[in-house]
Amino acid sequence: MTSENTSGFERHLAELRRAFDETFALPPPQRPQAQIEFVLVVAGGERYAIRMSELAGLEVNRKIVPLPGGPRGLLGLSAVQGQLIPVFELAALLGAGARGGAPRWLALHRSQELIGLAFDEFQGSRRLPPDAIHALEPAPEQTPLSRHAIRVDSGLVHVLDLPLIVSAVALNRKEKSEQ
Amino acid sequence: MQGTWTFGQKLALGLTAKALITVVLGAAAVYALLSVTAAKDRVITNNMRLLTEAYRLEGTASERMGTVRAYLLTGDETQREAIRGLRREFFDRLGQVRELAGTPEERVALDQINRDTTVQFDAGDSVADMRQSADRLPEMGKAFQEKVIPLNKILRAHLADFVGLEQKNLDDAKKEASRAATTATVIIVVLAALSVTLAVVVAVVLSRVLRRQIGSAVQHIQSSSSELQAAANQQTTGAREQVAAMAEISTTIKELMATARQIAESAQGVARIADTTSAAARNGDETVSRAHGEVSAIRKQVDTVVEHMLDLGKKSQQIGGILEIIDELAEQTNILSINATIEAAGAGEAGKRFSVVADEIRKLADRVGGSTKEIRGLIDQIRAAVNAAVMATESGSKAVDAGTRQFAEVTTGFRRISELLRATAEAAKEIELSTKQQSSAVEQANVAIANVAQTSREAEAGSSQVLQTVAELTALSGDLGRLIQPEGRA
Repeated sequence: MTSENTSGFERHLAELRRAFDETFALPPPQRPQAQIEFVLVVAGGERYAIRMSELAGLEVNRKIVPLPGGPRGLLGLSAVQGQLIPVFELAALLGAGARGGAPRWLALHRSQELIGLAFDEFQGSRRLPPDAIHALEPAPEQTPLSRHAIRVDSGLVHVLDLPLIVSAVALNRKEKSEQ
Repeated sequence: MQGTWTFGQKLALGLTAKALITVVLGAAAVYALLSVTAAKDRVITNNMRLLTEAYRLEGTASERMGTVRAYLLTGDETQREAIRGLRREFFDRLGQVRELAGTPEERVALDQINRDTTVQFDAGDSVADMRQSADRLPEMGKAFQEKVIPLNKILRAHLADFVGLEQKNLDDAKKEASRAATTATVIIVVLAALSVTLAVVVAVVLSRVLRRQIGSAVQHIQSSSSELQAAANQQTTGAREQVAAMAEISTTIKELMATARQIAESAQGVARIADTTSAAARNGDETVSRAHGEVSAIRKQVDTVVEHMLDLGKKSQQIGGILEIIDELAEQTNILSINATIEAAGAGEAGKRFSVVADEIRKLADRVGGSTKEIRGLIDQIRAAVNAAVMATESGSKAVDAGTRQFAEVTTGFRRISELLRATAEAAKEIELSTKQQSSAVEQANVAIANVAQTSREAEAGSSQVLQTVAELTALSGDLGRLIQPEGRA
């Protein structure tokens, strides 16, 4: 470890301390208008973005009780916020293969009922202006569960449309029940 | 036996044999002469005396017979006394004759004469006794005629026989003496002839032996003289070559002496250099010992560094554990802030301020999370650096150990070098001493070689003298050969 790294680390700490202090010292900033917040997740080895407005919450390390049978991608049931909710593996729903091991993160979405979407890794959140959201042209190979993408860290990340995903789950559940 | 005897011994043997033969011859001659002399003496002293005494006995008996007759005729008492005297004389002489008689015949004859004489003398005395009375004169005449005269004839006949016997013995003795003299003469002549023959044989044998031996010796002398001459010539040549070689050796020894002096000087230089190098080696040994101590201190410091590094690794692991907690807290905070934001958004206008606070908290949580990632990266770098440092330090420790061992080996090497240098210095001093001794020995050798050269020159002169002597010896052998053999047969 070089002295340059040490000085950078100390400088970073000072900046963090100052930012933390300013949080309490400065007046609350006005939320800029027309900013859309995204949550960055990793599922099936791919990085995705989820609109925070489509989320009902995030949970981690929740116990998931597996159920026999069930529609595609169903991992089991978990107790969240005092109720049992079905938990689906997001990667399975997106058509990607499982990477081994149960995902430890849950993205909660509430449509008619609360549903959990399990993913592998949580990479923080981003706030972007609306013009940073790019509409994707529908293509055969493109996933139907994403119609937009955002640029994060010079990389293009698909924005998942949770209502569509939940609708697809519901459709699957309906087809499964009809079968 | 003959080959081992010397010439003098053989000559002495021949002369001794000749002398022995001469002695034997002389002894035989003396013996023969003594035998002849004894025979003659025996003839003269014994036989002649016996014959003479026999004649005397005969005469005495005749004289007594005549005296008896005279007394018978005259009656003279002196005659009677003479008769008695003749009787004693006869028997005395008869006793002497008995003593001289040596043969049984003589003794028998003498005994017979003794008996006859006794009878005849007794008869004569009895007749003589008749003369004293006149009455018996006729009886006396008759007795004389009938007894005394026959007895006297018998006595005279026996005396004549005894004389004849002694005459015969005398003749036999003479013949015996003559025969002994003849035998002695023959023996002496034979021995003289044997002596002459043996002398001739000894002379011939000695002549042949001496001729053969001396001739062989002369031939050997001549052959040896030739060989000696060749050897002397070769010795002369060798002596000349030896003189030349001695000169070359002397030159070489002088060069060797110069080289030995250079070696001695070089050995002195080597000894000085070895002393200097030994001092340098001792300094090096001390330096190495100090460096060894410093390396040992470094090793301890390296061990301390390794220990600190391992402690640092443990601390970094502990920091990582704490960082995981912080990261987890940041994650939880982030989740809470996100959930708070979501909840604030669901609360409508009333939740906006709370949304702002939650937003800030989420930012802080994000930044904390990012910072924890950076810290984790830094800690990983620290741990990697620590591992690398530990490995490097262990390598350094191993290198220090190796250095320590090498320092020990270097120290041992320096000590070995010092010992070897000390041995080198001693060896150089021994070389110097040996070289000086060698120089002394070489000088002695040079002197000895000069003496050898002088001896060689003297040997050359001696060889010339030997050649001259050989020539003289050859001439002498020729003379000797001519002495034992004629010129033409030599």
